[in-house]
Amino acid sequence: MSNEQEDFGSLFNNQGELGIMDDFAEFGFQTTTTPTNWAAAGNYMYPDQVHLPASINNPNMPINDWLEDAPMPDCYNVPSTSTDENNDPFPFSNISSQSSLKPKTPEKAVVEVRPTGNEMLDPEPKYPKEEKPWCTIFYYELTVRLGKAFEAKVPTITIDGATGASDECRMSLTSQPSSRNSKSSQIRNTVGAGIQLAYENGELWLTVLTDQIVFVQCPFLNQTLNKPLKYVFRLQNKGDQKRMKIFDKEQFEQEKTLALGPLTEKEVADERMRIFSNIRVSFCKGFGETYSRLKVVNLPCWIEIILHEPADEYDTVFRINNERPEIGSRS
Amino acid sequence: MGDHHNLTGLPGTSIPPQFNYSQPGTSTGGPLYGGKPSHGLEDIPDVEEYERNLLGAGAGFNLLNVGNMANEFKPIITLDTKPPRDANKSLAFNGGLKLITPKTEVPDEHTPMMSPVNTTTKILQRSGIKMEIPPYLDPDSQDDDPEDGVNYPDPDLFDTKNTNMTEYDLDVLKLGKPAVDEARKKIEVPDASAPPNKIVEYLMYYRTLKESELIQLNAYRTKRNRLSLNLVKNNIDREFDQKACESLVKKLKDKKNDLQNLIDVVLSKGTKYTGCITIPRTLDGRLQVHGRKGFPHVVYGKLWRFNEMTKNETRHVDHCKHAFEMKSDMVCVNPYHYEIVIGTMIVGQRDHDNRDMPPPHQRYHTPGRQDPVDDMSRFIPPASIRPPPMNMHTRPQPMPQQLPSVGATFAHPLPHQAPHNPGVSHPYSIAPQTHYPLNMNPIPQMPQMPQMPPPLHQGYGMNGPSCSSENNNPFHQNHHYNDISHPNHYSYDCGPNLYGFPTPYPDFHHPFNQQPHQPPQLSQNHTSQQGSHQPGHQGQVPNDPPISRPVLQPSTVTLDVFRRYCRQTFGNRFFEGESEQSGAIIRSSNKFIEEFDSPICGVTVVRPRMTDGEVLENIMPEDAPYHDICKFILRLTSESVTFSGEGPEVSDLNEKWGTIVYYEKNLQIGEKKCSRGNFHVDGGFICSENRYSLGLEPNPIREPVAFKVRKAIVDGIRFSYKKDGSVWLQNRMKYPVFVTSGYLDEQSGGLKKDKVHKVYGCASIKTFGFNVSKQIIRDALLSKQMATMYLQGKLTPMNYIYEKKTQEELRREATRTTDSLAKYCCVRVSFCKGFGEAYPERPSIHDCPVWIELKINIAYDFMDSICQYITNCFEPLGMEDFAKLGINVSDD
Repeated sequence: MSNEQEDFGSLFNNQGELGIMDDFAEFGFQTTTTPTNWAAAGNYMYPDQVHLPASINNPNMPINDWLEDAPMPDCYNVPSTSTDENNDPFPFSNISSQSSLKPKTPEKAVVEVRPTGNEMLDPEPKYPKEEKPWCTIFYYELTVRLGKAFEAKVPTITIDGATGASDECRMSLTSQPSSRNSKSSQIRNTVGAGIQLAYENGELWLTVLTDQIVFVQCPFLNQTLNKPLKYVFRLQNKGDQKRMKIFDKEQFEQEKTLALGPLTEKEVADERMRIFSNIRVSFCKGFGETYSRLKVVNLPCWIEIILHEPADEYDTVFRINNERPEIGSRS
Repeated sequence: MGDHHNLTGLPGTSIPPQFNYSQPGTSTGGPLYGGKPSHGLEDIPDVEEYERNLLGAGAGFNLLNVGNMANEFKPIITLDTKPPRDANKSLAFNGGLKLITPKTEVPDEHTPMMSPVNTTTKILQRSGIKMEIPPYLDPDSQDDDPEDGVNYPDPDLFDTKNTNMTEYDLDVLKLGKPAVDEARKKIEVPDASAPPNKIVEYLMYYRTLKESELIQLNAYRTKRNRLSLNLVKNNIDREFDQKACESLVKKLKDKKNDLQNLIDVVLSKGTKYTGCITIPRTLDGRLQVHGRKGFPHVVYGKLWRFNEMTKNETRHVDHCKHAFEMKSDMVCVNPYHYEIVIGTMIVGQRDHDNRDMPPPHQRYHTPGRQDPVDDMSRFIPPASIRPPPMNMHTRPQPMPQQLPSVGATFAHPLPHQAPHNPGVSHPYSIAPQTHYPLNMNPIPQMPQMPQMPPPLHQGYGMNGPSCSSENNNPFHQNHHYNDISHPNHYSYDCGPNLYGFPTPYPDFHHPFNQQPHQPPQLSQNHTSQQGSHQPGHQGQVPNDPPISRPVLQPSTVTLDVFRRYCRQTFGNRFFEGESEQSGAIIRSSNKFIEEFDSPICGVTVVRPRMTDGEVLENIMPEDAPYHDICKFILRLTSESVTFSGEGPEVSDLNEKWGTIVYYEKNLQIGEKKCSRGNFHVDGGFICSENRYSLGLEPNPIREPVAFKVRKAIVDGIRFSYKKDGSVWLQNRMKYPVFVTSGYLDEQSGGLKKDKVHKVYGCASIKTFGFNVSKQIIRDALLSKQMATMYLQGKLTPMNYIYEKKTQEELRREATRTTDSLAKYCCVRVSFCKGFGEAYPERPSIHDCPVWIELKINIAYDFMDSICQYITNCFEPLGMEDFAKLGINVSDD
């Protein structure tokens, strides 16, 4: 217990009461509804109430609403620690020594490795500029991420249902490993021509090529259009619903200045901005308030896109907002 | 100089040795059999040639002159075929022919025989002085400096099996008798009315040191060149003895006479009181002490008299009225009422440790000497006048006249009888009984000749005031240590030949396959196994009592010995760049607790760890925990360690050296390959080659706690892949990270597995060392193969150890998986949240919200190369073999 407090107790004291977390999913939990979970997760004291200030720009659309999208941890069967030796995927810790030797006196389970106080956190060396992907795409069926993440390096890529192998400008969903879920399998076979993503000059355009309906959840777009962050667009290969700009660097810069702005707004903007680089796309099945599938993890076949340019931008904000006074003073 | 003389037992002692040591030659490298290598018939003794040699007609065997007690020089045969591995270039090894003419003598009859620790050239490095120690003088250079090529003894070590030495004796050795006696005078000898604890303390001072303690002493000696009684204070055997002693004193406390007698017996070594000391007999005749059961006479015999003893190898003296076997209501526990019976247990061979066996040639030729008795007689009087075998333990000790009359029973194993057993074909099949006298090879005594320059090493007497100059040092028994081989030496020196290897490094076609031994069966007990190893042998020793002894062999070897066996069996390929002796890890002070572990079957390793409350600062002894990184440690206690420095240079290779897998609890989220020398794992959102930003890893079912931790990571940690293949970790967060790795387990000492290292912000630690991990992986895999071969019925150098192991232990060894070694290729880091025993809600790292595993490629590659080598070079396991191992590979 004392260790626990030592580890983590100061985190919340130092950093204020942070209720809003990482990316999409992290927006999902409402601390007020799961006090027991919080307590169970760690035995330290949490803030009684997490303050979620209302969005400044959209006073009518509190962030809290959007948070419902993300799953509560107890909604799903999170893999539990198996005690069955045969099923343990981690043989690492099972190698108890063959000997039943007992130490002569109790041994410490934890060895502390202490700093000398003179450490220098040397800056990272500069490496030659590398070719970075502009986005990374993860494929999900329900809660499970499948296959390798796809990194887009050419400006225009398609995500389709072809059975061929993925190449640098095409991610084929059907060639991803499948969960043994027949519904997911059926859905991803209907994806067909899929969607096209084109990223040029800081603008990301999404074009629907498939005949099926595509659902897009893009918090950044929602923010700029004054919609709730969790709003889901319904697109189809028909008329003006076919093509849509879902990211614009210029607008993003504005958000960034907000996030680095005065303290009162900073946290909210920071938390909001964290998910602006994320886009979720569902094939065939819709989700959100008007659908039976409330959350993205109910969907049989969906992808998550992370745009690296805004992510990089956010990274600087994130690090500035999380300065480390202790270490900074030493280095 | 004087020191040296004292150490090596030079003249002027009048006090007989109070304890004896190994038979000379039993455990030395020993002259090896086989005449000229060109013969090709090394195993077949050639009497004619031998005789020609004696007449000077030819040179088939080594002739060696050794001064005997009578100040004469007599040629003595030695046989040496195996050129030392690290042969001294200054020596011409003419097929092992050496002639030596020592111009020296052993001064008096009381001087016990000494022998150098081994007879092959060794290069020793002691105190920074490099010594090349060839065994014999080169015949071609007789006119040269006679010192050229003289073999100086290794540091004097105890024969762990044959040394009967009390704690008192050890103190005497260390401090000198006057000093000890002076100190003892202040302590009055307790009588029966003294407080029991005082009596116990006093009696314990005269207990016999057990094998494990002697090993400890030897190991320490090898390293520190000193003796330390403290070393044995915490020994588990001592603990047992203490309890046994307490129990006995308690039992006798109402019988003051008996108690007084006990004190007298122990102090006078059985001379002052010769009657019985009895305790009531228990129902099953056994005594329970400290959780162990034992026969009372054996327990107390071992306590005060013999370092090793079993019930079946003892018999009581005639005048004992309450001997154990008499089944009376009282059992006599007077240690001097029981003797070890030769014939059932051979001194120096009682565990028929194959390593100690003399080679067949020697056995054959010994009686053919011109004077077969000469050297032997110095060791063993003829049977008629020889004292009972117990004297092997307590030789020159004046014996009471009630000595047992067991002379006849042990008369048979004389050297003269050896020639009657010419048919012995393989050293494995040799019954120990035949070797006992033959092991007393006088040759090794050579280097102790007075004319020889003093050995360069320091001797035991260095600390002792009395040992500094006088020649009449009463503790001449010091030189007994010279008889005693370093346990790490002898197997190396004679191992290959004893195991029938034609070359020290069999080229994958080692003779194991040609001489299958009887594979052990579950139903077979050890005794019958031994029988099967000795076909037709029983009849060769007519008077041989039936072999029904319990197995007494040591059930483990040290890591060094094991590695030597591995080199013999598997070649040097995986041992490149390693010295033969890694040097046992020995506790050098009370700051360490020494834990014995057996990570692989039949091998014991010592893992020192810090004693609670002790602090080591700045200068680390090399046997401290974290020895691999000791020069970076600023401060070390049992629960914390402070490192400084960056270690070696960071690798600038732009190659993929590892993979980081990111987990949240049991769920694997993502992975990334590490490509730069410095690789960061942080909480940010940067996509880059030299970092793994966990912020970019989404998880739709992330748990609240993971959000918190991920948010706290920010700058994360940095892995540095160094040029020597090691991996260092620096924590750049303000929160701690919790690290575990096989390497750190190994380095931190102690027995606890998966120990957690809590690394505070800014602190660094070496989390992976290639060399250490390599050794562990190699040892484990080779041990697995060794056990597999044993179970396949092949000969391995470890057979004599494996015979003592249960089938289950061997099976477990043979079914060891590479997965179980993965931890030596991995580093696991939990961010912010601790785990393990200290954190009850997270017993394992799989309960941590955010953690990563770094897999290091070179370690896996190395493991792979060993596996491939084993697959390619050794008989693969068939389906039946797997079935025997309990692995079902059938297609059902």
